[in-house]
Parts: sequence; structure tokens; C-alpha cells
Amino acid sequence: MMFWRCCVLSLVVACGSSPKPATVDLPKNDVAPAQPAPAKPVAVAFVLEGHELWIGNDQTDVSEDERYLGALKPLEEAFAKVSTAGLPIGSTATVITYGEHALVRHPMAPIAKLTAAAFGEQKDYYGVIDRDLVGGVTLGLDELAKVNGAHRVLIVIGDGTDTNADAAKAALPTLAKRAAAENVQVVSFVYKGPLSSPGNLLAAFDPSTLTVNSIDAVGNELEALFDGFTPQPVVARSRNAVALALLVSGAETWMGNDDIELAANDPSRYTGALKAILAALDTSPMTEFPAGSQGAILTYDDRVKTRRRMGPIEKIDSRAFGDQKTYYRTAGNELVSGVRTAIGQLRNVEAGRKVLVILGDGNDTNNEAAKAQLRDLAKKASELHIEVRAIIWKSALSDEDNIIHELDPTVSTAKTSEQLTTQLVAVMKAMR
Amino acid sequence: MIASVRVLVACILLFGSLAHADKKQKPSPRPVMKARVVDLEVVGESRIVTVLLGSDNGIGKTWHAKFREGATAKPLAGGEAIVIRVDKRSTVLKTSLSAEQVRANRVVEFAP
Repeated sequence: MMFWRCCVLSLVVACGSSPKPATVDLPKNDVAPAQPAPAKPVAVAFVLEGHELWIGNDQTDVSEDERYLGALKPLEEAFAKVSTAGLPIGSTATVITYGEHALVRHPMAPIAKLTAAAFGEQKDYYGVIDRDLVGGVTLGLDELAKVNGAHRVLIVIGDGTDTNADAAKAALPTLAKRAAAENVQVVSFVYKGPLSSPGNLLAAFDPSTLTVNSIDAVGNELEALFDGFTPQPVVARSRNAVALALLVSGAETWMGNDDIELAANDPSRYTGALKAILAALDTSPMTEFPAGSQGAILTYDDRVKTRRRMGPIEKIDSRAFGDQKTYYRTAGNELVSGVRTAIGQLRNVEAGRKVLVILGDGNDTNNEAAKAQLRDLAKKASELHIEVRAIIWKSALSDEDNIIHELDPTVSTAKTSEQLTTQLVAVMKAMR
Repeated sequence: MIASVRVLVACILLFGSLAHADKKQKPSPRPVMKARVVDLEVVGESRIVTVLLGSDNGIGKTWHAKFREGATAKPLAGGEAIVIRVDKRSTVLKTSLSAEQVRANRVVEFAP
């Protein structure tokens, strides 16, 4: 699913880009001119669910029995960390919420003026018992249709249901066609609230909708999305520029959950590897690489997620990984899918050196099938001149097997989290 | 002497029981609880409504639910609802009221 999401997003972004300048012959020295990034402004319509319990009501005067935390507060906190400063000049945004009806809460205005406060307060949503998702999407498209000369993006955030599910199932595919016809890039997130019904109607509008377990994940995705629209400075790209795909297991038990509210003696509490990875990035920031070097972060659990799209390698930092909450309640080990996606991303990058670094427990959900698949991927990596460096770190629940050696026969094993930090720092240093 | 006291006590008891025999037992007040509607779904001809009161508050699956008229304590005509699920903090009901009626009448009362 993530693969297709990336394909669709890349395609739409590419379609919406301004024309690139004519190709320039590479000079004979070791520096190639970089392509200037498109500077077309972006118009964003945030379409947010306004149901009382989804939003949360713990800051209103409800009794203890009726109190629910909800998504608004963490969403505002996450949004406050997302930088829109780098977006092209003239970029705009609007905020629409949907309850019984959809309404424009913050009219289309320069995106720099959009703060977390534009999403409102819990009291604004008290007593909202409906979810007019169809109305919200329709109004979002209507508002974007008024904007000319910009790359249009519709971002839907809600629990993926509608008060009238049958009517929504019929209406959303039509709205998806409208979005495509009007060149609107659609990004959507499903976050289930305390009393949300199961199911995801949004998939009928956006097949790539991303279900998240924490609102922090929405913040990370928005940051990555906006990064993609940020014009990159025209830097000379060295012929030695590095392209790095950092592929990391995203399963909760591998990443760790001891910072989350679990009792100290809870048997499902694990320290995990995330802290060791963050320590490596803090110890050895991704600087001093050849000019124009790029990097991406991908994680794999039961699906592959691009945490940070390919961009300046300096942006591969501890913040880009998020915290343990980002990986809470994730499980699975789709290593092969992760490798395939990472190789796909590296193939499309111009760089003198391409490196795939894999951190995980060395296993796939289906080790039997994965062996042959990893051998094929090793061949593909070799054909594309992609170096592969894998480091195994076993979590408390990891199987003792190891099939990653089919992809990287020189795979190393870190027996402790300190060793994981040291080995990762060494791999990154060797790339410079 | 003892026998006559026994006869006297028996008479008093008999008289007392006869005196109360045809009086109806005064019913103990039934606990009525009210809850706020927080969710509405339209499913076919029915409306599925969630209210914030559940088994933690003593609600059981056999309890009777009825919508009140607006903010008043009057029961809404045709406002009976069927309890279809009781969770800890919430209860899911099915009603034949229209969505508009549910939106206008957001308090449900429960009785065992």
C-alpha cells in the first residue's frame, strides 16, 4: 500500500511541478549542477473531523464519566512542529471541519499565517455527534477549486467514517474522480477515536489512505509532505554525492515501548532499538557528506512506510524518526517489501554512490519465501550499483533465525544497544 | 397466664396482618438514569445512537431506553430505543427516530 502511495504521490507531485530547465551538460570537473526544485505555490485544504469525541473534550466542563482525550490537542502539538516556512512563496492553506455540516474554519490565506490555533478548541466541537465526511471532502475540493496557479493538496484527517456510511460509499468514489480531474493531490489519514466505528470509508476516496496509531505520525507525514514541496537550494551536486536509504524495522517490540505509559513490571515493556539509533544520529549528525547528498528513512512492520522522503541528507536526524509512540501497536516484519521499496527509491536518485542501510532483526514475516526474494533483490541491488549494509539487533521477541545474509553476506550483529549505536555510526562514517 | 399472653400476641399479629392485607405494596422508586447522545449513525431505516453511560454506571442490556423531548424530562413520543450493546462507558442504541429527531432530542433516559 505504501509503495503505491509513494508512486501516486510522486506522480502527482511530478505532474504538478513547473517545467524544469533544459538539461545542462555536465562539466568535466567533478561537480554537476543540481536541478532547481519547482517553485509553484502550494494550496492546501486541511479537512478535519469535528466529532466531539474524536476531537476530545477533556478540556471542557464535562463530567469525569464523559471525558475523552481525543485528537485535537496532539494534532495541534504535532502541527506546531511542522515547518511551512520553506514552502514556495504564495503558498496558502485553509482549514475545514466536518460535523453535522462542513464549514470553513480558517479561510484560504497565506500558509505562514496558519497556526495550530486555526484548528480551534475542544469547546468549538462540543455536542457534535455527526461526521459529514462527504461534505468535508466536497467543501475542501470547492475551496481548492477557487485557487489557480498552485499545486492543490487536500489533506483529510479523521476516523474514516461518515454518519451515513451507505451514502458516503456511493459519493466518495465520485469525489475521487473529481479530485483527479481537478489535479488535486489527496493525502489522508485515519486515526480511530475512542468510540469510532471500525472500517475505513476514506479508502473509497483515497486508496492510499494511511491509518495511524498516533497523531504524531500525522505530524511526521505532513513534515515529509511539505519537505517535498520545499524548493531545494541550487547546490552543485558532487559526482561523489551519496544517496542513502535507511531502512529500519518499525515494529513496536523492536523499536521499544518503555517510554510509553506502561508499568515498570509490565511484561510487554521493551527498551528496544530506537534510542540506540537516535543516539547514533545525535553522536554523528549526517553532515560533511559530499555536496548534494540525499537520504530517506523507511520503516517496515506489516507494511512499509516512508518516514522521510529522499531529500537533503542533513535532514536524516533523530527528529525524523519520531518517538516510541510513532511505532506503538505496530507489528510485522515485511523486510522484503521494505528492501524492494528502498531499492526503488534509490534507483530513481542521481548519485555517485547509493547505499542501502538496513537495521532490523534479520528476519521477514515469511522467512521461507523471503530467502529467494532477497537473493533476487541482492542481484538487483548489484545491477543498480547499490551497496547494502545490514546490521542485526535482536529484540526480546526476535526469532534467532537470520535471512538478511541472503542480501548482505557481510551483515554484522550488534549484541547490545551500545554496539548498535557504534556500528551505525561506523557505517555512516564510512559513507562520507 | 402464659397461654393467655400467647393468645393475645397471636391476636395482635393476626389483626396487624389483616389490617395491611388489602393495602398495595408501595413500589420502590425505579432508578432512572439519563445519558447524553454523542454519536449518530444512519444505517438503512434505523439510526444507531451512542450515549455516554455504560455498564460502569450500572446499565444492563435488558434496560429500557427512551428519548426525552428536547431538554425537558418529558418522554418523547415514539422515542423508545433498543439497547444493542453496553460497553463500560457507553451504550449503543437503535431507534426509529429520524436523524433530525435525534439531533433535536439528545437526552436518553434508562430504566431497568
